[in-house]
Amino acid sequence: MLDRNEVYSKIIEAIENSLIVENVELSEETHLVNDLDADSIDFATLFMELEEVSDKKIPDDIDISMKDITIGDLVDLVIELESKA
Amino acid sequence: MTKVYVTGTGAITSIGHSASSFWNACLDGKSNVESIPVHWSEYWKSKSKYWSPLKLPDYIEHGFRKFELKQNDPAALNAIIASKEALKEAGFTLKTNSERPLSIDIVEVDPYRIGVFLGTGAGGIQSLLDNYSSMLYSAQLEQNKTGELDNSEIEIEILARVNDFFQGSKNGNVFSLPMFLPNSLAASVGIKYGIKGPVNIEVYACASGNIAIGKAYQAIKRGDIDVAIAGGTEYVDDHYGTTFRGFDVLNTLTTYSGLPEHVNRPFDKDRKNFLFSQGGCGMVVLENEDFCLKRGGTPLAEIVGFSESFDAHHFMQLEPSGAEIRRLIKHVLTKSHLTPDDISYINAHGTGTLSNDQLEAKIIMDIFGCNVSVNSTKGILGHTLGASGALESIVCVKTLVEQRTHPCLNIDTPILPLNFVKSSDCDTYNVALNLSYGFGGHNAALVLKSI
Repeated sequence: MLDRNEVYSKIIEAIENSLIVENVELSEETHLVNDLDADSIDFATLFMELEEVSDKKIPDDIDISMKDITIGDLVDLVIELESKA
Repeated sequence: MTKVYVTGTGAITSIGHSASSFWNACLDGKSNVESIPVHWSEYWKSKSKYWSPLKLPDYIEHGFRKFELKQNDPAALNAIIASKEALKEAGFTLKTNSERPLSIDIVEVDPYRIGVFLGTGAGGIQSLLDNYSSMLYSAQLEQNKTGELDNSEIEIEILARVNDFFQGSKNGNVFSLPMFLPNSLAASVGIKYGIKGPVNIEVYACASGNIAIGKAYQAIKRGDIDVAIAGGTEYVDDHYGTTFRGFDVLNTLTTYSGLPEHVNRPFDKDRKNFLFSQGGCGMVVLENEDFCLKRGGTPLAEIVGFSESFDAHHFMQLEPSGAEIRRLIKHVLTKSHLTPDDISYINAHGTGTLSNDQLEAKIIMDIFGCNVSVNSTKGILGHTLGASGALESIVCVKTLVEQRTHPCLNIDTPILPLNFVKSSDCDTYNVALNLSYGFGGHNAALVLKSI
């Protein structure tokens, strides 16, 4: 089981592989829509990357509000998926 | 009527990742022939044992972001890279768009006056097959978890084997739909270079690349656009070898027994069908004369005619009399205001299949006689399907520029006494004819002239 820091690192890697991150310092508080201009296509790419870096399947019908999501929320999501494995 | 010039070329092939390296390998008669992957024999028994694999470029080195690799089929990425090479050779300035950092502006041309004409045989089939297999695999994994499978040793072994070649997302690629739609290949080029004129995909099996360049020529000639990026791209790869097997079971692939470098032998009496190539990409830049000269461009060759015809005979066999190919050649000569004697060089379709070569050689002999120089680029590259006609057009351009062309490989006993090119020594090449025929019955002829 990965600790929170390890999950955070994997999520940063997934974000950098999925979005154009320029002139933004990333932290758990970074807001994906407001700070990184993420749109629905970016989320689809990001979730695919998250599946690769975490080796967990993210359900197609996942109940999550994209417009409010932060990097910290993604960390929670992956930790929750890990705990269900 | 405006003239249409070729001003740039770009290529990704199994023998070189640029137009010049491809061309130099052709001149040297260098092929890339290897045994087919060993594991295919676990699934099916092939008659043909060789192919020409295509090593893909390092896309990150070419400036793509990692997510672009997940959103574009390799056939599209190759077309973007080869287009860039062709645009640079043509002397266009390429600049990153200030608002869309993934897009590149072609500075000298109005985006409404440039188009894309891209040929392909199978479109983004790589993406479709990858995703389909991935979904099947993940469904089996889920069933395994819920105990629906009995976890017998053989099932575990099968899953373990399949797992070895799936390193990606467990949900497949969510972009597989836009990636396998054939038009996505042309759209990817159009999006990357901010092109707002016609962006067309041209799908005519093995004639696709030639017809795409012909359609681009026609669009410029009509005055619809000033500049076109045109060519063909193909990339077929899957763990099972689906496309290779498709051709193999139809007895179209080489079964010549001998050294790997000898199995591909178009126009030789002992040819045993064609060498399958994993793919390739050839792109050219076309411009109308006024636009080209005004911006200070340098023409490499002029396209003077294009024609197409259709056999209406059989999906996989040429019409045996060759009537529609003969009509095609006569038509393109008339449109080009040329006679058979004016043609100094023919880049034949020249697959190496028993029926193609016999008929094509006979038609060439009947119309042009035995003096015209003839070669087959497929004799070097193998058959790159939808890319072949475009790569062969690049060979025509290079031949006209350098006044030399590549030799035919492995013709020990020619099927007819045509003037098959024996060496890459200089000769006189004023007008080139590129012939292509595709499954379905599509025939195409492009005529190019030296400057």
